[in-house]
Amino acid sequence: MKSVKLAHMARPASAMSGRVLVAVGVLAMSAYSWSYPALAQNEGTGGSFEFFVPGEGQDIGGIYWLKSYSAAIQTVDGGVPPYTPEALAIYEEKRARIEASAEIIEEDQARGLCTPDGVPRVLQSPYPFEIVQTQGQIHFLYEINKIIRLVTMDEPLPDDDTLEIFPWYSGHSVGHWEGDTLVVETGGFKNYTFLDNLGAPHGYGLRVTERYRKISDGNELEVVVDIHDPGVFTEDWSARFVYDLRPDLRMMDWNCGEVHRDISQVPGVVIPE
Amino acid sequence: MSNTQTQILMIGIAYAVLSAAAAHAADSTTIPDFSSNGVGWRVAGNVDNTGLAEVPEDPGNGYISHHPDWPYAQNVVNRVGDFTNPNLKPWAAGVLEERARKVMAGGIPFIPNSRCWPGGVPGMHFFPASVFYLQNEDQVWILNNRGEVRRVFMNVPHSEGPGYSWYGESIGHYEGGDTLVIDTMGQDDKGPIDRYNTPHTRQLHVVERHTLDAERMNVRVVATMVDPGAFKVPLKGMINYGWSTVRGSPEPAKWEEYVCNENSDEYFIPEEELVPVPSATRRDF
Repeated sequence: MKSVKLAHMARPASAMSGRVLVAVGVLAMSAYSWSYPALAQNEGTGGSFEFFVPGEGQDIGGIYWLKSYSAAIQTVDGGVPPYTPEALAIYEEKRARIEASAEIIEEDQARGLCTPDGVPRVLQSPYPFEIVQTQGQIHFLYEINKIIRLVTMDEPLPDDDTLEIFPWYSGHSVGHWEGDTLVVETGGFKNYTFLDNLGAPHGYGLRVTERYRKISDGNELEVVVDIHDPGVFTEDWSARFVYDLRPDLRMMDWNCGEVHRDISQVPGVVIPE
Repeated sequence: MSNTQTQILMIGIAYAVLSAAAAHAADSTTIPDFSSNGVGWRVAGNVDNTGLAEVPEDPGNGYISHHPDWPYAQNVVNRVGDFTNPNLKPWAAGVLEERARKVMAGGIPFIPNSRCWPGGVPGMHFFPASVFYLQNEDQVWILNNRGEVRRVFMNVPHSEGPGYSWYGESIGHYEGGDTLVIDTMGQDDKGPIDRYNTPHTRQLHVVERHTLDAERMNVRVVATMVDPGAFKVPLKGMINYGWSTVRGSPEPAKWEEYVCNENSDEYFIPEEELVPVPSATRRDF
C-alpha cells in the first residue's frame, strides 16, 4: 500500500514590497514546517497523518466470506464444546426449539431484532465481512446486522469492573500483533447473545481470544478462537473458522427483515423452507 | 537597498513563488485528515430542526424547511414540513402535506432513522450520533455508532446499473486539500432528505462536499440534492459537525457501541401511530 502524506497546506507569501518582501521570503522558506496548532483532541495525528501502512505480513484488510458454515459451534477437532451439565441442558432446550421451526425464537434478538450477534457467533456468519486497518485501530464491519466492531490496538482491556458495568453485544476488544498473527482479546459481553446459531449460552465471564492470520498464500484468513467462560464450560476450548478473501465482492446494505444477499452457495448453509 | 538586501529579496521572491507553486500542487494532491484520531464527529449548530442549515455564501434554492405557520418549537410545536414550498412537484407536495397534516392534528412526526431504519444520504447526517471517517487510498468509510456504514469508492466512476439500496452507490475524490466530494446515486426512495420526511424518488442524486476547517475542529457538509422526479430545482443545505464530547463532560467521545433496536419498546406513542422498528420473524439460514 502506497503511503500518501496528508500534509498541511503551505501558505504562500503575498506581500509585495521592500523589507516586507524580504521577511515574506524568509517566512516562505519555513512554510512547509508550519503546522496547525496542536489539538488537544487530535494530538495523535499532529498534522502528519498518513494512510496506514500495515507491517510486514500484517495486511489483513479486505472483504472475506466464510468457507463453510455450521450452525453449531464446534471445537477445533470437530467435537462438542465442554459445557457444564446445566449449560448443556439450556443449550439443548434452545437448540430443539430453533431447529424445530424457521420462526425466530423470542430470545434470539440477533435474528429477530438484528442486534449484534456477539463473539464468537458473528464469526460463523454466512454473510461477508470486511476488515479495515487504520492507525491504532482495526474495524471489523460485518454485513449481517451491519455490525461495527472496533478493535483498539496495543492497549489493555478495560478493567473488570468497567467490563461488567458497560457490557456490549460485541464486547470490548483490544488487539496486538504477534508476528503475522493478529491477537484480539474481548471481554465485557451482554449475556443474552448466543455463542452460536443454535442458542449456545454464555455468561458475563466470557473472555474470547481470536488469533487471525492469512493462510493459503494470502487467499484465506484463519481465525482460531479460544473460549474461556468457567461458568458455562468445564474447561477452556477453541474453535476455528476459515474465510476466503473476496476482493471481487462489495459489501451490501443491511436492514432487518429484508431480503439480503444470496448465501445458498456457502457450503453448509440450509435455507429454511 | 544594498546588494545584500537585494539578493535576500530576490531569493525571498524566488522561494515565495516556488512555495506558492508547490503549495498549489500540494493542494491538488493533499488529502484532508478526517480521522479525528478516533474521536467522533457530532452534528452541531443546525438552526431549525430541519436537519439542514442554509449555506451562508451560496444558499441556492435552499431546502424544504418548516411550514411558515408552524415554526418548530421544541416540546411545543412538532415538525411540520412546508408543503407549500414551490420547489416541490405537486405529488411530492401532496405527500408532504398529508404527513404534515397528521402532525398538525397532534400526530407524531416520523423519519425512518428515528425508528432504527437506515438513514441513507443525506439522512445519515440528521441523527445526533458520533460519526467516524476511515480513510484508505481506495475507499472512505463513514460510520456512526447507530450502526450505519457508508462506503465511498475513491477516484472511480459510478458502476453501470448499481441497482438501488438504502445508501446507494457513493464515489468520491478529494479537492483543494481540505474537501472530500461524494457523489451518490442509486438510493431507494425510503431514506429521509430532511427531518420532515420530504418524499423523493429513486432519481435522487446527492453531491456532498465534506470540508475540514483549518483547525480540524469542524467538518462542514454541503449537500446538493437533485431529483427531477420530486423537486423542480436542486435543493441545497448544510450540516456542521464538531468534536463529539461525552455527555456533560468536555472529554472527547470515542467509539461506544449503541444498538438502536435495543429497548425499542415505546410507551408514549399510541400503537396505531407507531412505526415498527425493523425486525424479522423467520430465519434466512
